[in-house]
Amino acid sequence: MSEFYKSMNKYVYPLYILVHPVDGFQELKNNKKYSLKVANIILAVWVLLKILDWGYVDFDFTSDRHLGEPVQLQQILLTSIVIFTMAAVSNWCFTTLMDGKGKFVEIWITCAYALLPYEMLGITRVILTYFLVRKEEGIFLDYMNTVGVIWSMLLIFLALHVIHDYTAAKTIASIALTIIGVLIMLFLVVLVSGLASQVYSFVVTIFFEIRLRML
Amino acid sequence: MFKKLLRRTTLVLSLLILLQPASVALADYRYDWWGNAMPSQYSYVAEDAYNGKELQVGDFNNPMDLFVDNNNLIYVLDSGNNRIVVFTEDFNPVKIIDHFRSANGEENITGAEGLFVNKDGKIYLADKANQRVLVSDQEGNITRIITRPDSYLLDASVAFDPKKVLVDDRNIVYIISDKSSQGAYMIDEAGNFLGFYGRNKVMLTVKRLLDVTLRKFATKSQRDKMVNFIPVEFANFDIDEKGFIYTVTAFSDDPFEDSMIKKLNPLGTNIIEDTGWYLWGDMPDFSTTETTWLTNFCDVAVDENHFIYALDKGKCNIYQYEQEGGQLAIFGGNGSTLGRFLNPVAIETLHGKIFVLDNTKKNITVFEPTYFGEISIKAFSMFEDGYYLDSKSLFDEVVKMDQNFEYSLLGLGMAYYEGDNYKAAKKIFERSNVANGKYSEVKKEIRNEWMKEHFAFIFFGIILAAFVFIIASKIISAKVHDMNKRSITKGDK
Repeated sequence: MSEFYKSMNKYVYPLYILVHPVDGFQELKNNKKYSLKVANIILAVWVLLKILDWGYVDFDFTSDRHLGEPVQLQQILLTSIVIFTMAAVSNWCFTTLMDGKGKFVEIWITCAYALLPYEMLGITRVILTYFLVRKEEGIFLDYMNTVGVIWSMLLIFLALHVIHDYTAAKTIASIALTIIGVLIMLFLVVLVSGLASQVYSFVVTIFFEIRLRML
Repeated sequence: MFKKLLRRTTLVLSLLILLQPASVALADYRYDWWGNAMPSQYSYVAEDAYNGKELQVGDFNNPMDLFVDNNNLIYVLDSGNNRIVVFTEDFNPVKIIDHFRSANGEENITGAEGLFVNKDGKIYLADKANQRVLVSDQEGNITRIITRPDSYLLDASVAFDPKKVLVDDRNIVYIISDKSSQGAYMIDEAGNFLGFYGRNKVMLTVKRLLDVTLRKFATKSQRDKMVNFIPVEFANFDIDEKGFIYTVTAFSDDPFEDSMIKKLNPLGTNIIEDTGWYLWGDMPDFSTTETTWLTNFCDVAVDENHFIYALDKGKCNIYQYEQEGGQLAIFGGNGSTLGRFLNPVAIETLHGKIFVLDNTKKNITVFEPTYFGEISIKAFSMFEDGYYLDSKSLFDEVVKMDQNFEYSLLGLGMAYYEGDNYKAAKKIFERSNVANGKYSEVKKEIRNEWMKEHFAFIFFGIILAAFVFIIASKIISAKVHDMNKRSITKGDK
């Protein structure tokens, strides 16, 4: 069986990783069996899923927060792609210092592949909202979501474990550092944007001041 | 139908225009599920207000309470004049009780604040100034004086300042004592203290948890200066003919915390289901100071159909709630014109009319339902009794007149649901935020119907899919087997 999946072309290969993550990621790293295009499509589907979850589930399942509120794309992008990019960069920064064997493109692609189970279950969940009743069967969809999240988290862990050639403890440490790195980045972004806006307003004030003097 | 409606609407509108300068200057409103005050149709309009002189009994002086008894007689406790005035439903004076005699001689009731008349015609007076409850007959002969009960159940520090009084069918007297957080005193006919009834709860919040923790580390003198967390006392209560006691609490720090209006069963537990988003009274005005909570309930009344009317001394509003606690209408307001109050103290209902006693204006305001109020009350009573189908035409009319009325949308939806018109019910429930879970039920019914209609198609579809799946998996596994074999042989070489 495994030979058959290994002989798959690289576009269908993420499906093999779903069920054989350790072998799969190893093969991916050794034989460069990845496709950036597929990874980016998976990330795009993530955004799509977030949009569906926000505005296109059945009325029965609409959460209070999102009821009657239009989809806000910037918020969705911030909580998906932007945070993903930050985490990938942060992980790459730390793992280079920690003797990680993975390259940035490998981190990016394996982590994107790892999101696949969450997405597949998520899209099924959105479709099922049109057929199921929240009061009775709604709980199954919550379970489905939880399973998807746990599966994906497990895959991310294994991906980092395999591509960096780390022990389990070191992987956990690197993930913790990655989270800290993301927090530092967010802090810097807030700081810089705050300062930039102050500088901007300073320049604008000076401009108006000068203009008033000249006139 | 349309013509009839048009005629009725114009009638109501012209009526409203006629009454406009006196009673309906500002719009009535109602809160929607999101907590926005939405303008609503007028449910009640003030028909007239009577002061003592107009009723030919002389001006009221510090009137404190109002009561309607079983024989539809209206009792006014006119404390300042040391008397009780009795009127018929049409406000014709029946008698004035102004002499109260007991074995000790003449008794004074100028300090009385609460009045209750039981079904035998006995008058109960909560005499706060003298810390007692007087029981009088219709002629003013005091037959019984209830003082602070002597019981080992009662702590010596607990005060007995009767503010409001109520008697149930078993002749047990319930007494709300001023500033007593334990609940209402229950005293039986023989004068035995039976215990306290239905106290409010103190809810745990983060701030309070912090204070309790701090208290653990404080010295005794520090501890004495700290705030004690005692539940807020009841402001007033009323009893319906089934024996349920409705209580109101004057204020609350947080309107969403413990219920300000409760329907208590004989055990003293609240049976109005707490859905977590009921708003009692008005939305607090956060723009003013932090602690200002403007609603200040002072009385509650329950009518024959178990609608709850709460009177708000702070905002001078009357709030009408349906039997389950859903807000139907808010009207009244602060002001000196007809239909507005300066210091309302008591509310009573009789045959759909609402009477409000104002302590400062010294008069009784009579509210009558408009056409809209009448049909909505009729519709909701039918809804409460389970006649969903019959209430459909009424709810239809109510919704047509007031599109923002979420509870009537729920009623209309239930009418469609009961009539097996699930598609229409689904559309209605989509518009009503209070139709909790009903939308799911309707969706399920629609799904079941669809399944029944297309059963053959689904059944054979599943069989076909199973066949296809079995065949496909066989083909694939054969192919994989073949491949593995080939790769192994390749490896051998």
